[in-house]
Amino acid sequence: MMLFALLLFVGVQDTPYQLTYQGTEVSFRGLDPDTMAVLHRDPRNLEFWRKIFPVFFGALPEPGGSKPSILGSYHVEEQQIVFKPRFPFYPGQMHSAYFDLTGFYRKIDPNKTGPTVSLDFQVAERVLEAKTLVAGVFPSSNRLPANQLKFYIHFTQPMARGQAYDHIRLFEESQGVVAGAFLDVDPELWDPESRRLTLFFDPGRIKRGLRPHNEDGTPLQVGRRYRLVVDPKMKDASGAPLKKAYEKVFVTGENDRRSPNYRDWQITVPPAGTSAPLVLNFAEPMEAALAQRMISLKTSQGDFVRGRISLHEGESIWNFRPDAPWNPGDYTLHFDAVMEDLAGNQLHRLFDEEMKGIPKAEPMPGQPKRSFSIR
Amino acid sequence: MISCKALLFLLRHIPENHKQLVIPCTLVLNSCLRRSIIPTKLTEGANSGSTFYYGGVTLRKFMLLATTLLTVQVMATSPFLANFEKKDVDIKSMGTLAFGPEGILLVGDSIGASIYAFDLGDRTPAKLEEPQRIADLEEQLGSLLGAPAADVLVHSMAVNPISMNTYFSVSRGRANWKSAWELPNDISNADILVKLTPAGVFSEVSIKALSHSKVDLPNPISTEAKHEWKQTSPRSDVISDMNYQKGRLFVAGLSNEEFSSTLRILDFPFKGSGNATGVEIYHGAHGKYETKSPVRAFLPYVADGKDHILAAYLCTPLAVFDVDELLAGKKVRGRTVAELGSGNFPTGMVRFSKEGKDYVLVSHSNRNLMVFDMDRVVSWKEEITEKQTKPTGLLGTPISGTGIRMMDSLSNDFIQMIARSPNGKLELFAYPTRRLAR
Repeated sequence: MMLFALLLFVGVQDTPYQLTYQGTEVSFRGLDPDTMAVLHRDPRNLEFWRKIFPVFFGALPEPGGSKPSILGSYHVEEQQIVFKPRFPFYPGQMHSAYFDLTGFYRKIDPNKTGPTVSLDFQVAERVLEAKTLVAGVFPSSNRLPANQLKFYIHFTQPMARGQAYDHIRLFEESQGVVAGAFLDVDPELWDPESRRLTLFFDPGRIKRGLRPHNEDGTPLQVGRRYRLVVDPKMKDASGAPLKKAYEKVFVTGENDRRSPNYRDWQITVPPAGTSAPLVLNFAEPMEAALAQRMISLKTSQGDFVRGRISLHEGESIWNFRPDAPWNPGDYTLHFDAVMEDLAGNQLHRLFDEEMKGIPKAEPMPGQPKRSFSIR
Repeated sequence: MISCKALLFLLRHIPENHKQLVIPCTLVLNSCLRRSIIPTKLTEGANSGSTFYYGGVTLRKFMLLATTLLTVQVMATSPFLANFEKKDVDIKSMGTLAFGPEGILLVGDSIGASIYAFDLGDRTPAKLEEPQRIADLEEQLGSLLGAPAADVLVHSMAVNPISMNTYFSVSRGRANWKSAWELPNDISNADILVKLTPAGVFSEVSIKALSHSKVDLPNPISTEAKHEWKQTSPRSDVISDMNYQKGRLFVAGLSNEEFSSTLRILDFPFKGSGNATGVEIYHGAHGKYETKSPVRAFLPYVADGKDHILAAYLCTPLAVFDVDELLAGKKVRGRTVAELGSGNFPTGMVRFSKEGKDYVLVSHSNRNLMVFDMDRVVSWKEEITEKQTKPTGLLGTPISGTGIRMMDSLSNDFIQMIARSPNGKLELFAYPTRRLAR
């Protein structure tokens, strides 16, 4: 095989012939002016050129092999024959080409002959511009309960899937990386646009009495300082890395084992005729995604009031700006009972309830709501 | 002077209906230039579509000479090609291929919501000596596309029953595959048509150069629609399968009507956009009526002297439809005749005959090949109307062969298939029908 290759494929440097890769095309030079003139008069067809001057994905085919050459077009230009591929040459891959002068002259001028000139060429890796950033992390507060349940990580562009757990780490200030802090769920929990990742702390380690909790302890400890780090090697959907690393520093407070008490939430009522916001103060940060879609405002006739919701002060303030100025009247805020605080405690149910015997059957609590009047 | 033999050879290779008569320069150069009967003035690219050099010699002068030597009927235009024209092709996706009469290739463009009929001029009858086997089809196609096998997508396959050339619609882009629910047409738009000869030679077919006719499908499912849990765009299923039979083209797919699952019946040659009927069936495995999921594979057949359609759905009910009802109604409920099991995707349906008996072969992603005796399909009168927990009803005979991605008839003796083999390669092979009906 080696001998065959040596005999047939003469290196470019030994001949006047040049087979060259130039990024988007491969060209062959070195034919004498008379032959070029013949080709200019009669440029030959695709079938002819694919036999004489094939360009291959990967290595040259074995003699007698059936590997098809790359689709493309051949052009007789001034002093050269140029191959342009149908699709761009594949980044990061080896390609090859040869020009069979023996076969060529057999068809063009039987008095002449020549060698087979070959070329291997490596196409450069695609250089991807890093443009994606972590847009933000919820909860935004830097003080979190020690039984914090999840993070939402928002990115500025759609991300590649299947690599999040390799590139997102939690560090404790003195002890370094916290192993197994997050629940490695497959598939990862992305929104449909692949721009928001939901990252759960391992709930089995948070819930008391469960085996992971008893064996590995809680992922976060009370009163410590942590860093959540998103490694810039994390790839966006185009395959490019992040523009820079992201870091969120936070400290942990006590465990939160109380349901948010919606009856105590402070409502700041705007005056009628204005578009001033209606402000609801939860007195503690709430789970951001749920707080944005689980609170609705209705008039006394039962019609929804339309407006824009925003969260502030580490998601402890809910702000509602109406599309139209407030009409005087009675209003009701409806809360979905599955709204959660940062530790996953819902309005009627704790995330990690201490079980003492068989719980008594209790009447289903009604839909949580609060009423107020605008004057 | 040119020999009669050479002339006959040339004439046989002239596309029958080409108004602008052009023959590939290889033929002309080889046979004529050497004999110095035609000046060597070349017209560039006339038969080439895009940028390929495909020098051709206008045939006018040549024909003058030819007619003095022989009287040959060259331009006998088939009625099927009557409304074909050579004009711009604006095809968005070549997602579904099927053969019509006389080697006409039908190409379903779901993204563009239209169907093209191309005159391939591929009507030279071939006899099958030995069916071919390609151990790594994606690698071979990748060599053409200049891409690794892992980035090659095969969207559809159809075998020309006359020439036995196989046509594939392909694209680069498998590397972008995100979920098991995505089909090739969900990942990228097939933009290349490739021909494979029975001798194993691959080449691109430049559709821009082909004479064609086209029909637009009214009310296709919107480009905005999203599948509720697969997160894919159902637009790629405007045409999920096509079958030509006796002057009619049957098309399964999705519309924007209340029952998005739709069976369309069009006249061929195309005369208007035909008839579209929303269809529903009772899906026993799910215990509910199905109106959104398209028919994935089907075949027209005749029962009691009337045209019917045998249709297979995802997860895997088989249902039959009466074509007269489809032509009469806006919405039609099919009769569910079988549940072939959950977690499965029916990938193809072909008919074959053995010793005077007709059979239907159904291929699946996750089941054996199944052979159905046509007499049994015709005489089956039962209907599934209640929830089922296991395969039931008109069950076919299971035959060795799983993971079949595509299939089409190669001859009466062989069915050509593509399957992902256990070594991970996409393999092309021919299944002998004698092993299917024993």
